[in-house]
Amino acid sequence: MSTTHSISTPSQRSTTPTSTPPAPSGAGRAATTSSRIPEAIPYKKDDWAQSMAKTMAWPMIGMGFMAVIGGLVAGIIGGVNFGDFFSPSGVTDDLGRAEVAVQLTGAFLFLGMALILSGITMTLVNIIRHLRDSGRDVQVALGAAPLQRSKPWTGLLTPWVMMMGLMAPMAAFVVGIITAVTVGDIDSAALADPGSASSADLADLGFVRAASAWLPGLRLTGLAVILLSVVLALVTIQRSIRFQGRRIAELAEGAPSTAG
Amino acid sequence: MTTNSPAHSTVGNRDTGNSVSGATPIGLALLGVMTVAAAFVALIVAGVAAGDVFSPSGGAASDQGVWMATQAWATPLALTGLAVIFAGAVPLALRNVRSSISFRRDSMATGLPKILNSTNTDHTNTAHTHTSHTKENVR
Repeated sequence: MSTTHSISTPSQRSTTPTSTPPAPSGAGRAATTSSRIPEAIPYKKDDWAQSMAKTMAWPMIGMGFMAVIGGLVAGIIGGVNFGDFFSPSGVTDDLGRAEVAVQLTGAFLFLGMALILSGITMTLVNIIRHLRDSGRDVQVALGAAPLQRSKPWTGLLTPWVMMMGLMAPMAAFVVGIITAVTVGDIDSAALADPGSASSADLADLGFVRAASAWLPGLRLTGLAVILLSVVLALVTIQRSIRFQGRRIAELAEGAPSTAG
Repeated sequence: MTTNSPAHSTVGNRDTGNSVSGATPIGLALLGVMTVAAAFVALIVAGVAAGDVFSPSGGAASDQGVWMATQAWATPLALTGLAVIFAGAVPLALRNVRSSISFRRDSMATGLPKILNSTNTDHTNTAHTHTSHTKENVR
């Protein structure tokens, strides 16, 4: 007498015993729809932030690098003009051009760094997306309904913190351009010797010096906030990986109990 | 009996991202570090010139020119080195992480069903043996 044993399919094995009854015999590949993991939710597609990250990550990095190169070029121009000014044949106009270049250098460099760091945040968000989709594929391969971790608060905050951080260097960029234009308007002789400046030039000089004092702080604060968003994205990745480990363990635990 | 899920066929190398050699990010990072180091050396020269300007003997105008001109281009050069690291090395390394996740996904999607099925088969065979012994005992 021969007895045939049907080996349960992964879908039957992965039916969790806690909140749903085991799939009835012949139910085919009915998928698991529940989980003991509290954060588990059904698989969802990209939201607005993830779609933005998918589209914008590499363009942001590219734009940022170009801005940094622009800042480097402005810096070299400034250096050449400073050298010319202090050479025996130097004129005060060289100093004026050098001061304008210095203002443009800071504006472009920090805007570029902010764009690059924002691009890195978006690349990390893309890794989170990829982890989620990979988890879906593995669960589907096991015959289970694809579940994902509900977005943790770190993931909810990441895009907002990143954009808030990007706003600061952008505002600093605008102020930096205004400062450069203001320096350009000042008489070069007044730049070399503020004592001889007219009252209008003195007011402009005061604005430029004041802006030069607080602009670096604003730029660095913006970069720090963007780096905070990088940390938030990394924490989200860690939570996503941990969820996937728990989900695989859950599916594996369900296998022999249903089969036996 | 094959127990692979039909859905497994949907698991392919989708959205894997092109993996780049691990040496590329490291090379870019080293390039960035060398750029920053070169800027640092230039800034040391600028610092020496600045020291000459304020020396008791009084520096020449050329010293002040070297100081300010070098500072004007060396600081942006240092930031460009950082940009090479952040815009080149880090994203490429993250891209490699992504392709590794793809590799892990493919391995798990292929291997896990087989592993779980073999475990399941062992349990079923054990249960079968136990049932046969019980039937013989009843007889």
